Amino acid sequence: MPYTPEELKRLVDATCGNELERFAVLDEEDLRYLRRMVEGTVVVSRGAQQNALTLLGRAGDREADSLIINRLADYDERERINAADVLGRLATRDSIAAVADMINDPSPDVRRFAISALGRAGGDLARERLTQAATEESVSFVRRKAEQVLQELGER
Amino acid sequence: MAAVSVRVMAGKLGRTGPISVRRDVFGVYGTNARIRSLKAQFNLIENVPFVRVALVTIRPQNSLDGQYVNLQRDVDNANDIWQAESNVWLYCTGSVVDNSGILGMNAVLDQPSCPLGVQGSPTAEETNLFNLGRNLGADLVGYFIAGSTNPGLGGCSAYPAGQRGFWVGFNADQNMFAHEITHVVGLNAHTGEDPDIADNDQDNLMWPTPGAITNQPADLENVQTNRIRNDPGIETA
Repeated sequence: MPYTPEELKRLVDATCGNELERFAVLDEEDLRYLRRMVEGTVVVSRGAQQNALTLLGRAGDREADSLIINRLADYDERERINAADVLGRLATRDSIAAVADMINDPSPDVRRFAISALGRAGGDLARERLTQAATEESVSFVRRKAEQVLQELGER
Repeated sequence: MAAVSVRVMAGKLGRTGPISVRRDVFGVYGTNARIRSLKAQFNLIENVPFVRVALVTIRPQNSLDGQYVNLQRDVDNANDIWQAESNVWLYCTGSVVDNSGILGMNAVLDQPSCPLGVQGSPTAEETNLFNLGRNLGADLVGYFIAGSTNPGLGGCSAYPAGQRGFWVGFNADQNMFAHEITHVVGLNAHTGEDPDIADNDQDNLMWPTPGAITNQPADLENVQTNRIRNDPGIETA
């Protein structure tokens, strides 16, 4: 474990995004500790929980997908945006399906970020939902985002 | 001090035409009750190096909300720290509000990472955001937004190549603006990443959680102030 629990707690408490760039190497013990922060068995602030979530996404910790999916109903709009981004990075079958469902979130901004996350993840389901959003989305800036992401996917 | 005119002093900052003492001499664009001495400001203009910064507040599309309410508090706090610690001052060249909807309905920026300095592969939203405010007379632009993808963050200083800037979240601690601008000007890293600063120096402005800085006002060490003073954006009038 490259970090002690105290170091990890202090680092995820950061409010300047640059600090998260320090977490280049996280071993399994670190990831397990970050998961415990997200699930609440290690008590940290709500902001630090979101930093832990972000780090799990960057680390590609596929074991975190169900942990996050099970908490989506408790997350507010900003937290769902983060969750969409993280789940898209994990790119498991379940996480992509969860992001695909977020295309129907009541918040247009969550839908916007879900579209970005699907674009990063790619794959058949992502293309299908992006096509749906590009034609059926009622909010213009979200629809434009879907059109733009679809175009970028087509260029890859 | 010999008699000097406001117009002459504003001219030293590149201001011509109708002059506003508040905006063109002091660089004040918001509300933060404090006594401001014209004599002291003239002394700064004539004798102390400075950095120009422009400010942009991002609001949702068609929003009638104005600029960020704590904008001047944050700029004054940064100026206090910089003047006390590094003998450099901040000159705000303008402040505008954008309500074109470039960051959706909640002004949240799509920003997956926050490296120190240049953002290697900026998202389309980062590129669009950092294009704003480039006509306000400063090389450096600070953006007040709702935040980025991760709601745990209150600021970030990563910027697309050639567009120096940083963002600060609405309702972030007053040290966040000073912290982020000190990342950009002088490329100062966090305490734990800077080999010249003690890892546990929580009094330092570059502590990674600016709201938790102890013994305020925040400190800067000589090595950090030298980086600020040697930044290419530093000017003298």
